[in-house]
Amino acid sequence: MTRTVIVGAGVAGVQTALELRHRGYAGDITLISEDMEEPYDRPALSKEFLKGSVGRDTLGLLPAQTASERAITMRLGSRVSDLRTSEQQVVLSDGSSASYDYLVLATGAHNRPLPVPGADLPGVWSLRGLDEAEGLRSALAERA
Amino acid sequence: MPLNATERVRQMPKVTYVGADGGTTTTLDVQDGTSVMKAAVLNGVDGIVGECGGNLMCATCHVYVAPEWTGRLSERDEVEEEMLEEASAPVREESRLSCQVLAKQDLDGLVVHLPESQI
Repeated sequence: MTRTVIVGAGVAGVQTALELRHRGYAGDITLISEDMEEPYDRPALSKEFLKGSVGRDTLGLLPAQTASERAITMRLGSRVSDLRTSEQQVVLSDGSSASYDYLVLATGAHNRPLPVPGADLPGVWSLRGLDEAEGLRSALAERA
Repeated sequence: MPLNATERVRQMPKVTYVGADGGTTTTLDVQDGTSVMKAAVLNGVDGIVGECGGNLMCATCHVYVAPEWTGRLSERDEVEEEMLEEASAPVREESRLSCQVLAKQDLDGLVVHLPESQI
């Protein structure tokens, strides 16, 4: 039995897991996400969700029940701190590790900070995760 | 008079998804106005991806609408036609991107067939 570790639970990571099962992969699948939240869809964060026309309940990509039905182990709130390719292991920030035969890095990108003075002033937002979208949404609502 | 929870579920349009193998069938009560793609993803229906989140920027929520329903849906618009060209499985007359099909009362009982592949 082979072990597949997927780092990142955005649409790429989640779909890799689901598609592996869809195509009959029978090995272990572990999906690691530094986000505490169950996997969610990001495009809506800057659209419907931000406008307030839909809530968190419509953003789910991989409900816990589906993950369990498909035997996908989710490790939420876990950040990968080291990648030991010679030992085929990823090390998590809590010190534990996960061994793999196949490793998928689906971490996406990170936001580039605005390199100008004042970029850290209140009112300058960065939008990538659900927490930031929620913050921006309430800030916009207060101004409305 | 406001509906209680049971009445609300009773009034929710049903959508049935038939797997590409023909055997796996899932029927969901879908909130009015929710897309057939979104309902599938939220409920873990195997065979619908919805990679772009329903923004008509991919073709991974491709479905074949059951023949008896095709005439009752809105027509595919130009963007959907273009995106469908990217679909992984063969595109047929009854092909739709399911993010563009919203569940509603007069589509109660809608049946869609899932293609062999989305990716």
